[in-house]
Amino acid sequence: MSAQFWPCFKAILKKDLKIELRSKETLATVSLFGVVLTFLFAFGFMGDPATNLAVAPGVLWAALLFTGSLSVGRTFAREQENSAFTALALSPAPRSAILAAKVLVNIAVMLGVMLVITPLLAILMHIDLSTNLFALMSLITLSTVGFALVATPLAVMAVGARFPEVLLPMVVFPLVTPVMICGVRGSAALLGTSADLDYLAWTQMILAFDMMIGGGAFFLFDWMVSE
Amino acid sequence: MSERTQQVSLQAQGLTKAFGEHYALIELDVAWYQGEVCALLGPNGAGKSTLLNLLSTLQAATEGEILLKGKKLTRQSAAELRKEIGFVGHQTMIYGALTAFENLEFFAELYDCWPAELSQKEHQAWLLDQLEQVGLKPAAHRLASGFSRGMSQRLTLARALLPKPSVLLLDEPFTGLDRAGIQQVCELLIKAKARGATIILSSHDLETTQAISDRALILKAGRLQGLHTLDVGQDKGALLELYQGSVN
Amino acid sequence: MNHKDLESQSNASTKIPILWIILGALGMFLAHYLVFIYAPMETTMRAAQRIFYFHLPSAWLCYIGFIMCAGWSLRYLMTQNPKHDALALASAEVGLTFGVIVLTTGPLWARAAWGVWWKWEPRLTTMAILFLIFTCYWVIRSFGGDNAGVRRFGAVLAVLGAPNIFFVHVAVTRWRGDHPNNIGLEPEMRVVLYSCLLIFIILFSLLVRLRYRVHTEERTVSALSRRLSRIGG
Repeated sequence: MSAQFWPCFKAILKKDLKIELRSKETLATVSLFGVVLTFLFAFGFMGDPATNLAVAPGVLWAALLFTGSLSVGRTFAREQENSAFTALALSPAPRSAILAAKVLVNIAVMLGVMLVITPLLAILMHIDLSTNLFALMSLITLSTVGFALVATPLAVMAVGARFPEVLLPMVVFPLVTPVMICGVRGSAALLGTSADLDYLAWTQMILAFDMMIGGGAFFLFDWMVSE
Repeated sequence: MSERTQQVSLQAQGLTKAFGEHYALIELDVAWYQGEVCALLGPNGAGKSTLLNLLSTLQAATEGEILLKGKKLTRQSAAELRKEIGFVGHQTMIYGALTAFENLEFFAELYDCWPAELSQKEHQAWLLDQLEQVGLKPAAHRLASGFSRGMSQRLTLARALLPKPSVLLLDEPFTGLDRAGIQQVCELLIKAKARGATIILSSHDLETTQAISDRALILKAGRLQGLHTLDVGQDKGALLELYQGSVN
Repeated sequence: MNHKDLESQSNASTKIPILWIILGALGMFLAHYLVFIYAPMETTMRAAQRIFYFHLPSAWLCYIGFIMCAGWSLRYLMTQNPKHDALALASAEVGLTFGVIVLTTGPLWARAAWGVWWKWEPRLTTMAILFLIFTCYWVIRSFGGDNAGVRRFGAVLAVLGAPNIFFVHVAVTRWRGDHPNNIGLEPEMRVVLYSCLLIFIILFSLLVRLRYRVHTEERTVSALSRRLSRIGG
């Protein structure tokens, strides 16, 4: 790792968080979209308490994917305004530092959104999350990390592509299938609606996925953005 | 011109760029020297912007290569080499949601180009000083999204000059600037030239270009049409005549 | 690319593998004979079982095509050699072709065996997801235009997609598992299966070669016509 990694990583992270905290644009719009989505899902799937418990994990992770792809797209739209990303790409900043900072920003935004959606869903569908709160949070966090690790490098590459708004979800959703399955099954195990495995095994599997994708992405990233 | 004895800083060898089947630049061989200002002239679509984009490594050449201080320059080049190049393109490349000061601060951190003799506390004053030089100090703490084109252009120039690059590539640097702004930018460019920087610029402002350039490189339909030395004493219409003479 | 490159490239891929084409064509006749006439009737599944002789080799070659695509994509990312990219694209296309066979024959068999067209079962699901990922790859390559950015995007997608399969497979296996495993095969059945596999391998490599040839020729043509436009303009 080059000596410039940490200073550049910190600079980009600081800049992005500053912009985000100042305008709150991404967080506000994507959270709102998440709220709308949660209501729609609730309308669509609400039933007796048992049904609610059964569908809640699927609803939550579907919302995670939708809001995730939106927020990753948004954080890059900001770089494209005035072609600012060009300046970043031409700078001596190591590619891995750019990627790492962007992944972290996306994780932060997505976690912020999930912080709004999850309690809302619990309220709307009468689900008690308090008993396994920590386990659920770690499952959500790891899923977010996995999503950001897959989506961020692809979003960087899609900067300037012909149809980025369709391209990103189309490509990212199939790639994060493991996150979706593990997240949904894991939280179902937490809520007691599924007995196929305990949540820990699912959490471990997401962790393994995160590590593999993360390693691969950082290994490949220098080659990815060479023009 | 005495600069001729100086070292070559940037070199294009057989530089060619094709977009699909259209050639924007064809086998260009040019060497640029330290401490010179070279103007790129040519009608729209002659390949001026393409040349600057290639030299900045923003786009990859189809054929040929670029040498910076004798080393091959690509997007994968070492950070040390990329640090040497300052680029001002058509786009301002600044963040609208940050203030002018924060924009500069971000790039200073990215390039790690704080003057060594300054302590952490003096960094802020140094950045304000850089803004002062492009006449933006009064607007230092305003969001860049509210800037006029001219102000944005000043900020962009300040950003490009920040790491004291040895090669400055400027695509229409005078866009949106008023007379005073042009004057300020020219002074900055002359200062950069004095410390040995190579400056390559394209502009439609012939008068200003004439005033600061040492040489003029004329492009037509992607090919080198002529490379002329300009004398300080030449009258103001000289460049225009040269340009029209080469193209027609 | 200079003249020499152009020439050597076009020479290398101009040869049409006549022998392989004949071998493949004869092989396909043989495969049909073996599957429909030679192979003994299976007792429980009856005629529906015969689909399996096409299904299984296709599934293997589909996987191989996608893995080859990922491998060549990785090579391409590292070398930027357009030939590696052409090989990756060709492998993906042929892999997808076999994928279509798998995803048509699979449900046909499932309908007969399980009474449903689709089951959430590890291999089926993995194949479906893999097929989706590489369909995306193919769509991007087809509609994205031919430039370095699109090629690299596709390559990254393929490289990230292939190991993903492992996770999908493990996840779905843990979730639910129900695929016919170790079906006891009679010796004649074994002969038919392995012959089919061999014939499909010939077909597969033939198709990859032909597609690779198309892609490299396309590139040669566009390089030549670019050269022409440069001389003309």
